[in-house]
Amino acid sequence: MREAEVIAEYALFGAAAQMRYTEAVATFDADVLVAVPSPQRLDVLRPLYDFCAQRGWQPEGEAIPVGAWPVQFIPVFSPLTREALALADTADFDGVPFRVVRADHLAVIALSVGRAKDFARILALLEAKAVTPESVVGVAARHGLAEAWTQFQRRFLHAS
Amino acid sequence: MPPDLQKLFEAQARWQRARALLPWHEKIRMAELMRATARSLRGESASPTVESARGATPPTAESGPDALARTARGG
Repeated sequence: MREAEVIAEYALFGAAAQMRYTEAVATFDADVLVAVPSPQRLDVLRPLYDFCAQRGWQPEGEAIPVGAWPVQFIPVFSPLTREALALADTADFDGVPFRVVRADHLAVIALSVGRAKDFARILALLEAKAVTPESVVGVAARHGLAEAWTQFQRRFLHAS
Repeated sequence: MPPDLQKLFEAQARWQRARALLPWHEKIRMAELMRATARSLRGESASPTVESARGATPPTAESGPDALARTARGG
């Protein structure tokens, strides 16, 4: 897709990316963050869906089945996700290089979403020592989430 | 808490932490098995990964991020 200029960049995020650092978790799909060459389009993912359709990968709902995984392509939607994509690691998946959002960005994206399962993801990343409170706070502060991080710590890390 | 129970919980915690140290591709395949099991419990249609969960067919190289990587590269 990059070579065809359908996307400018990609990185795996969400639960499938989290599993790089933590134990396996149950998830039904894989989330892939993408930057597209023409982000001003209203239907930013249309070229991507067309590209997949030309190769016989028809969408099922919002996801495109790739191998065993329904894949949701999500365009960068904030300065935080743009930074996460730009600074993603290139990981080795069984010998295949693959771009993956870094653990500190995964934690702060989860913080920004703020559901119970997102908080559980942050705790899993902390327990696995993939992130530390110190590594998270800088990213959170840079993206206007310092107060949300303080509240998270008060609620889950400093609770007595 | 009774000492035996405490030891049991500690052993469980150690086992869970050890699972986090497995290779990423192994954990992705474990997630595929969990998903297939959840789907079968929900009564949804079986998929190839359900067969994998039963041990009939090992997960293939088409599973997981290696397939995604090829897609992203346009392969």
